[in-house]
Amino acid sequence: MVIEDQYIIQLLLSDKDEQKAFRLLVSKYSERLYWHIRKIVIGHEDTDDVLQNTFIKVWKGIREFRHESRLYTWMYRVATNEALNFLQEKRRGVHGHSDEITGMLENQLEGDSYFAGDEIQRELQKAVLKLPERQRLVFNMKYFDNMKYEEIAEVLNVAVGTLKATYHTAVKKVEESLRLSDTIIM
Amino acid sequence: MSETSEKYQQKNPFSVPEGYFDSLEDRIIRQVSQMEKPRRAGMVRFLRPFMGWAALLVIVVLAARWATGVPSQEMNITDPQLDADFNPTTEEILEYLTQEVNLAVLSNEILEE
Repeated sequence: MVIEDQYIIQLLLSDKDEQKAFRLLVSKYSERLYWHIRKIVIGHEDTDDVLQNTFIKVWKGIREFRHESRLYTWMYRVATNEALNFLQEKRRGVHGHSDEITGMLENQLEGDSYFAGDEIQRELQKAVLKLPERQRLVFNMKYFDNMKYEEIAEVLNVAVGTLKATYHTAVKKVEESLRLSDTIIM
Repeated sequence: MSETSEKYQQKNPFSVPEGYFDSLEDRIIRQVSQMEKPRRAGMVRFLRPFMGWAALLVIVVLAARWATGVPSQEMNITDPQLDADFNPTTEEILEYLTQEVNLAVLSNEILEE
C-alpha cells in the first residue's frame, strides 16, 4: 500500500500523531535517501551518520516545509545538503584541497567491504568521483536514481536546460575517464 | 551513455550490512523521539516574511530624511533662539540682557530678606 505524502504531512502537523507519521516517512524514504547519500559520501558508516542527521533535520524542519516543492524532493534536498556539508567538513580536514578529498573517497571505495560490484563498476564509480561536485550530483541522480530532470531541478534549484547541459558534460567526462582507465588496465 | 551503459547494467554496486534496513527505521525513530518535539509555528514565524520589508522601510525613511535634510525629532525645538528667522536688533538684545540683570538683582534681594 502506497501512503500518500499529503496524508503523512497532515499527520505530522497534527499534535497527537506526529510520531506515527514520522515512522511512515522514515519507512517510505529511508532506503532511497540512503542510496542517494551513499553515492555522495561512499562509505557505509558515513552514509549512516549523514542519513540520521538528515532525518533529524527533517523532523526539526517539517513545520517549515512550505509545499513549494514536493515532500520527496524537499527531503532529497535536505539529504544532499547534509552529504555535501559532511564532505565540506572532511575537506577542511585536508586543508581544503578538492583533489585530496577525491583521493580519499577513491581510497574508501577501494577498501569498501560493502562494495558488491565488479572491477568495471568500481572504475565507473571512480570516474564519477572525479567529476566536479555539481556534475557528480546530477550524474548520480539521473543515471543511477533515474530521476526526471524536473525532479532534479526541484532538488538542486537549477533550470532544466542547465541540468541537461550539465549531465551531457558529465557523461562525456565519465566516458573519457573510462576510456583512459581501460587503456591503463589493458 | 549508449555503448558504456550496456557494460554497467547493474547500476548499484554498493551493499549494506545484513539486516541494516530492518533496524534502520527503529534506530532513527529512537533517536528522534529523544529530541524535543518541534514547536508549532508562532507569531515570529508568521511575521518573519514581513520583517525584511519592515527593516527596509525603516532604512528608506531614515535615508530619505538624511538626504532631504529634514531635522530629526530632537532638533525640532520651537525655541525662537534656534529659529533662523529670528534676528533681534541690538536694542532688543540690550533690553533682554538688562532684564536678566534685573532678575538676578531681584533674586539676591529676596535671598537677603
